[in-house]
Amino acid sequence: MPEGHNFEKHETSPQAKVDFESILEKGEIKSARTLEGYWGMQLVEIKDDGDALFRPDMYSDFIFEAKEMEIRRSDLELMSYKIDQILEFNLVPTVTDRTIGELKGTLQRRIQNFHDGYGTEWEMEVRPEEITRAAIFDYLLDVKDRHHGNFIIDSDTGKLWLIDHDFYMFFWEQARTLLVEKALEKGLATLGGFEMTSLERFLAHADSLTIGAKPEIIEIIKKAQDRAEILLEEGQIPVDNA
Amino acid sequence: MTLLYFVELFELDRDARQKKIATFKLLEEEGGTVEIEGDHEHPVVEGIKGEGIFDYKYARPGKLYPQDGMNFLENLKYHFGSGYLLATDVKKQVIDN
Repeated sequence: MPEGHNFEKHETSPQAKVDFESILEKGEIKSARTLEGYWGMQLVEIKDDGDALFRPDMYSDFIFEAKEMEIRRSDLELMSYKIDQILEFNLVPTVTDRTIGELKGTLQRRIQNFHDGYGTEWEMEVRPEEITRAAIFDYLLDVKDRHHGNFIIDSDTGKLWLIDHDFYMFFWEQARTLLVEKALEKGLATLGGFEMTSLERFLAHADSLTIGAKPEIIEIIKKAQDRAEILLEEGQIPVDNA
Repeated sequence: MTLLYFVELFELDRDARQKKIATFKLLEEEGGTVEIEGDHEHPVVEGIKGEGIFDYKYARPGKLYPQDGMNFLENLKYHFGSGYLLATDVKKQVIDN
């Protein structure tokens, strides 16, 4: 792959800003290789533009059907990305919906320079504002199943990426995101001016996200609107949400 | 003849190659603890042994650990589904004694 089209190279090169959405939506697929594992994921090579992770919806449809939900996995991934974009936190890797072969699903930018959240000292490698914003994102969307495998870290840059926005992330009542807990523990749960502006922007755009959306998405966004108000009023993530 | 149930856990490296981290094995006749074959000091393996995983499949309260046998094995694929970490479904192999 030409180095100039490597996703990660662009990450540290702001003057060469790449439109990841267009690449993922329209890029010519050169090859697709099914990965080992249950969910039918594929590593997709995009001609001249690196690779990405394709996640077909059909492998997780049974989870939503069992709960009689209208949404599918891709709805949750796309919602998470759109809200992250409105907040301008840049925590969720670019994702678009895409059909590959006969399979509908999502195609997501693959983060190359990373390690997962397992290991005891991960928070020492991450920029403090990344932890604050990730905790705000998780609190806002009432994210639940954010365990050590559901975020990844670029330890060279201190960048945090939030991944795997599936059914369990939003509807698994037994779990609580560990990122809110970590932000509170480290004294990183207070909002600064950037985060305040982000939440105001979210409130200004939130209603537009519900237009034509499926009921479960509307429910998540309505709750997020209430939580954005709480965050703006209190100036921090409420302690009782750890 | 004994049945061996197992789950393989893979991580994606920087070059998009999948590397097996561990194989989680349960012998039918043992009816107990899942044995872990692989690097026990790998942070992911240490992590799930210490923290456990949820019972996503049956939604029973509490966490599951290797000593929970098949319940633990069946839930690995739900816990590790990000693409960067991926577990297989439970596979079955017949072993001649």
